[in-house]
Amino acid sequence: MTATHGVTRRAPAGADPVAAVAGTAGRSRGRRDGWRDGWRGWWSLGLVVVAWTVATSAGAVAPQVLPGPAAVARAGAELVTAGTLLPALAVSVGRLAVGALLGTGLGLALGLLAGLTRTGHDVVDRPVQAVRAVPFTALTPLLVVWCGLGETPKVLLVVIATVVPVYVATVQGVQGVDPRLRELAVAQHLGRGATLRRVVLPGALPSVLAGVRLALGTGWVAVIVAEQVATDRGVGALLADARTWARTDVVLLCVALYAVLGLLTDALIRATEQHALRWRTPPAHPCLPKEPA
Amino acid sequence: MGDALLEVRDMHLALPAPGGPRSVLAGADLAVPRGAFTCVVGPSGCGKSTLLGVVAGLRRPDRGAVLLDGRDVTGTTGHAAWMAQDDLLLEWRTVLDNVALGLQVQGVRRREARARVRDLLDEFGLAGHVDARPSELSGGLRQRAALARTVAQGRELLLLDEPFGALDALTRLHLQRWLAATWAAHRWTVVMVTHDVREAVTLADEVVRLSGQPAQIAARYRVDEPHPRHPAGLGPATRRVEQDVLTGLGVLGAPDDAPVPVP
Repeated sequence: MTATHGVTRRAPAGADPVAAVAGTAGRSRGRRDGWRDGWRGWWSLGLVVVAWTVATSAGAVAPQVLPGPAAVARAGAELVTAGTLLPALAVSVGRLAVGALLGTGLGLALGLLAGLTRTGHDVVDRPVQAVRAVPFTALTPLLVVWCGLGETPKVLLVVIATVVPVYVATVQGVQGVDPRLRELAVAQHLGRGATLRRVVLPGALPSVLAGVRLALGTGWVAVIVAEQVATDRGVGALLADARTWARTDVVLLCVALYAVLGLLTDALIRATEQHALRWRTPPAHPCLPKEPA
Repeated sequence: MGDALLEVRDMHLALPAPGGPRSVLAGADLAVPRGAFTCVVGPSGCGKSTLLGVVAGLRRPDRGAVLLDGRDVTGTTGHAAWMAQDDLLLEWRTVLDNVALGLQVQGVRRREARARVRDLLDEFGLAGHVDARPSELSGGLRQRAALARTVAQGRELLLLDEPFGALDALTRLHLQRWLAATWAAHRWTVVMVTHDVREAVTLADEVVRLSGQPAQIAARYRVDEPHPRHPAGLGPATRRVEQDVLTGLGVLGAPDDAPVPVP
């Protein structure tokens, strides 16, 4: 065996210049670029804040109409000391978390059912598409009538808002798995469960995660809409109070909070994507070719 | 025929086509002894891959039987390890985990499956790429990883469907030479489909030539030169077999059956 090992070892050595080139040197560079790319889009947002500061401090806009960033920050500090801001944040984040978790789970389950079986598709797809056709905001009054004013209608609205994007993305992801890989599953004697777990789900994951990201975006919209209707807790309640007392600074604070929360959720999913899909080579930024001379 | 590990008897298969079902296989027979390397060659699109797919159990034949060690395995999978021309590596798994896949689904724990395939990767020249993703590998290395995954399943029979068909000529020569040496050390039972006659006579104990569609066995050729052979240094007897096969395919001299249409 040792002798033959010598033969087999030597044989591929000739082919290995190819192997040497395909090293992992490119990887760490890619990661650093990824980090830089993560920050490069932010300066434009910073510019907006600067413009806001300049406009308000120059007195071009009345402070009752548009308070400056400093006034908004003061309002924030005031609410934190009063002990109302952080609990409100926790309530809103909680609504999104519970609703999105349920919605994502349901969307995933329905998506797998419709993506993997013809009967499942026949049963599930039309109803979900019907729900998709209705703007979920239109369901708010109905949910209030059905479930009262507690947490249930708010969470339910988030569930409805998140279930559809996750469902659509899951169906697309499952059906997009290379059919040749199913052939491989047969050849490797994988069976249904193993094929699902080791071939279909990982293959569909990029699409599913994109769907979850989309879902969390609409999930926040659902939270905001739900909190506009009869709330006593959450960022929406703060917003309603501020409107009553004409506190523009607090209104702006709440709007800014929603923005920050949305960006943070997005960053969370992005990080998950980068971790779970690190096997994917990131696509180059698309650009038009140079004009021919 | 008595000591054959694999027997294919009277294989018939028709596949749906625009003008009604078209006969693809019309009575193909094969007998592959344990530890032998058989290559199947034939004109383009004659049904070589279909034949292999039927043996692998990807497709059930209309008539005929596949016997492994005398056991009827027609239309079932799991008795043989099959490899396609595309490597079909799972992009999200490392090379190591791709190769360990077969063992894992057989119920071997992940840690143990990984340990068991490490030596194999070493032997397949993939030791430096154990943790690489398939997208980081060259075509030749991907093919080797796919081959390692096929071998790692530990089946008695390997079915290789043009494993080097998509590679550039130079890489293909390297891999043919490497496979000749590796196979000589292990003596797996192999049925390999190829369109490369030089490749066939380099690797095989027996070359089986199929006729044009519907495919039947047109001729069998024995190659007696001892293994491992080198694709660029074949002996005169093997070169003669190569000429015979090429003649039979209508590429050289007068064809001995119907002229092969240019695809």
